[in-house]
Amino acid sequence: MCAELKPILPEVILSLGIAATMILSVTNKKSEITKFFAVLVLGLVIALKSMQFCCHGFSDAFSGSIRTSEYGALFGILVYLFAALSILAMDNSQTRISEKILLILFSSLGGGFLLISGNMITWYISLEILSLSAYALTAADLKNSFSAEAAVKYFFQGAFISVLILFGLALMYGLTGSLAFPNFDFSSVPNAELVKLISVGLLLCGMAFKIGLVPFHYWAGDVYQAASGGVSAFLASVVKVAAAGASFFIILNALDYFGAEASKLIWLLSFASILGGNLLALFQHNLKRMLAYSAVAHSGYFAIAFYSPELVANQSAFVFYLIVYALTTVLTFTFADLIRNSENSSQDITIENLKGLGRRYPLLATCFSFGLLTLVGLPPALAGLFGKVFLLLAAFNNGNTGLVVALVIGASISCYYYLKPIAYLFSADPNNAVTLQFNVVQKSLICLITLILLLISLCPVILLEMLEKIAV
Amino acid sequence: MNFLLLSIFFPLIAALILGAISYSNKNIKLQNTAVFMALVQFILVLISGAGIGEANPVAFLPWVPKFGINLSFELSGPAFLLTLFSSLIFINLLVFAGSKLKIQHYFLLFTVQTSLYGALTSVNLLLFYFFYELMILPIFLMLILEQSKELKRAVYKCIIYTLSSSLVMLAAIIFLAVSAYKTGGQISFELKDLLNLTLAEDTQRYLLIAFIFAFAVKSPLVPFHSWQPAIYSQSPAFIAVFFSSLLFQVGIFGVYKFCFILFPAVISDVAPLLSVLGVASILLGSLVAWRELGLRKALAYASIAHIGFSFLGLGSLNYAAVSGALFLIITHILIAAGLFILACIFERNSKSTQFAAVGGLAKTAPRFSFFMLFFSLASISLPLTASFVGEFMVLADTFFVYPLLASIALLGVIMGAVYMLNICRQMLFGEAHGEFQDLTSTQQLVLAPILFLILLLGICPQPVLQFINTDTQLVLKNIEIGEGNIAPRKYKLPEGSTNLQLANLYEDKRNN
Repeated sequence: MCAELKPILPEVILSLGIAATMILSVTNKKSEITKFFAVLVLGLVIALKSMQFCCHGFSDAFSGSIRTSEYGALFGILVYLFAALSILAMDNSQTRISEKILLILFSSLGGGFLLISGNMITWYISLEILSLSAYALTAADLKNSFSAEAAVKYFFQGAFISVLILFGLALMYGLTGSLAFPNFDFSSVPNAELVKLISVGLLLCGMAFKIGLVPFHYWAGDVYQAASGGVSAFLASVVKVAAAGASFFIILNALDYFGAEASKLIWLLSFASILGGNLLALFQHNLKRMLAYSAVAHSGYFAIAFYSPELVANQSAFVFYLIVYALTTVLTFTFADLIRNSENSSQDITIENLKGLGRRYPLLATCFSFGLLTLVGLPPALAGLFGKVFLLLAAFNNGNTGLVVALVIGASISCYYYLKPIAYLFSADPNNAVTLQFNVVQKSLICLITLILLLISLCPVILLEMLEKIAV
Repeated sequence: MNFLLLSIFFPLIAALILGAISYSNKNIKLQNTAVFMALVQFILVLISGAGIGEANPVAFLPWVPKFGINLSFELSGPAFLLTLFSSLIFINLLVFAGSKLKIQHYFLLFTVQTSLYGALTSVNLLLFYFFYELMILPIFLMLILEQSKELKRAVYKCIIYTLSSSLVMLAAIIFLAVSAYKTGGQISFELKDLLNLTLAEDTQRYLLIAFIFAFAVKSPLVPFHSWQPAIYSQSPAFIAVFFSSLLFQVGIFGVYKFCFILFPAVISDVAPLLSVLGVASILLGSLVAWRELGLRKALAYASIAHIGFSFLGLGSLNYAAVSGALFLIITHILIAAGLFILACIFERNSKSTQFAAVGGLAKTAPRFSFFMLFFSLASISLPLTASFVGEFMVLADTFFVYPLLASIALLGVIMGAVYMLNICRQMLFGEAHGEFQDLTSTQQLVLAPILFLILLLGICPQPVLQFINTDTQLVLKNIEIGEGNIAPRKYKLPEGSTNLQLANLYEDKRNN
């Protein structure tokens, strides 16, 4: 029994940690203690997961329900790391902060399990844990009607999509008779091509919803705008990382059986997301909404690598871009949440409200600008440019000129709405009523992430060497 | 001690030093330190040029070896000249504009210098792209904080235009790297690895068009020039002098350095387009400059016209024309610096942007008139000035290949005289009206070396041309000339220069 527990030891520790955090949050008045304890637990779990990262190949546990691998371990580390960063990014004066921390921990537990599941049931339950906690996180500020609205939209759309995913899984089980997932095996099923196609298609569309690809992106704007500090960073980074990591395996397998159709679907999703996301972001006035739609566009960018996921180059490109994107997302959403207008809310901050903030808070504004530059892919923020270069290498390797054209057009469009906030930040406007309210932890977090991005810009080899290990 | 690497990254170090100095003491006058840094930079560039001709200085640092992205630089003859003259003019411009620049301007201008030198000397395509893009952010930050709404619009137009075109170039660069991977098994962005690709001619043509599109937008070349006049005329004069004289080089030199070397088989199909667009630039630039009433806007269109001459020469693929085109880049650096400095002085002293606002300066401000007239004559390419040498080489050799285009370009020379002398007539001669303070001794000190250099290059261009000719011959030897073009005349290679890197490569390629 103990030997069987070893593969899921990090998750077991996390579950026990959640229980401990729950008790701590109830018995303690100060939310800082809960916060730091949660981060401590996550840190321990990351350490354990790193040990798992050094194992080789796949190993099964619990009669195939759990399937650990280096890939799953890396993505687990990413999920827990960004969850920890999001918790640190939360500011202490929020309502229901302990619930939010617990929900973040639950969600990341779901995300971690998602990536090491070997079974349809484990997979689906993990996905639901991830998603339901995310819905609840969006709604956590119940007094804010916009949060409630966003949560309802997210929940209804997400529940519907989850049902469709379940239907796809059910069809798959009906066809194959085996619960193995995501390494499903259609080779023993000779006919029923249409049913196979439908099941895989439903799964892919469901994952596209979780990642936020057009045309399944309608929840993204409201949810990221409405979510409060730290939570939007979590939703935009962890949920996407977990969902994208999980989709990778599904697509790998789907392409074995439905090369043409699945490629076409991915091509369409990627193309539509890049163009749609950028165009939508171009016309936004609200800062967080703009960042939300730009996140949709970035999902489209790394979906380029899904086209031929069996190539190692595509895998490295995908994970590199995902890591850079998630780091930058935590940075930008944290900063966006620090901006408070006179009602002490950050939801309605428009891009014009940024005027003059750079003069008053130069360090944070520079870090935010660096984050925006990374998203554009402009030197000196080379991390983003390297990401785009690797994706373009992947795209040309696959022979996808259409997606290259989309990326070029999308990046050109995006440079306007990323450069405008930078211009506003450093222009002078002494009458601006908005302020930045931050504590030491948030400021250090923002600076730390900027330093990491700078390090990746100057020396991407550090990250690339790590990514070579996870070749699937 | 690799002086090449040092000379490329020194401006960045200088920028950080200046930032550090100003951080500790907010009121310190940075101009002297900045000029000293620029002087050190010039000396470094001079030292790094040692050995050009025998063995081009190279620098190589692996960066991401698995993807073939490395810090690899090579200082060829023309690149050395361009960096040399850029650093020299940068000193002059700092002395001129230094009192009005603040710390952020110094920081950003020095960063632009690094990106300029990096772009001119890099032989790794992706590294070239990084430096090429690095120029965009400082320009954006310097200009976007000004109050004028038209300037903001102009800046966004410039940035988005250049960024979109360079993204197209990025796609082409990556396609080349992937082709290198597919043929050789190793992704590489190094120029020497990408020379031996055998791609289909159609593919090569598309890639070539992508590169030329990016460089045409950057230079600028008609019809992609619409971002330039607004930025040159709306931006603050003391900032405009910097990028009007220094930033266009990368576009023209990029065509020479990358398009000619990477696509020798198809360049002769696309080159006529370059010449035609060059002539269109000359005509359009001259015609609009003639009708413009604002001084800096007229000079901006005059810049477009001069750059058109370079493209005319490049497109003819003849030795003297291409050498002349590169020589014209150098002369345009000098002349544009002089003219825009004078325009800045004019705007400061007369408080107006129109050149007709003040008249009769020959009597009231003789020193200003002297320099203005001299630089106008240099812009017109009067013999004994440097631009005459370049334009003569371009026109004479292009006449062999495209006689019609060369004749139309001659009209452009005449029109150049028309608009420049028109400006001089209205500003310098005629009835004296309007207040104008004459040049101070500092301003004369800034302009005199530029004048001297223009005269020197006009009277004795051979030492400079020698650096250019060697390289041009190597590059052009490899290009297949289609029918209708007369075979290029042969120049003799200087003694002892047979072991140049490129020479070996081309020898191998032609022997195989």
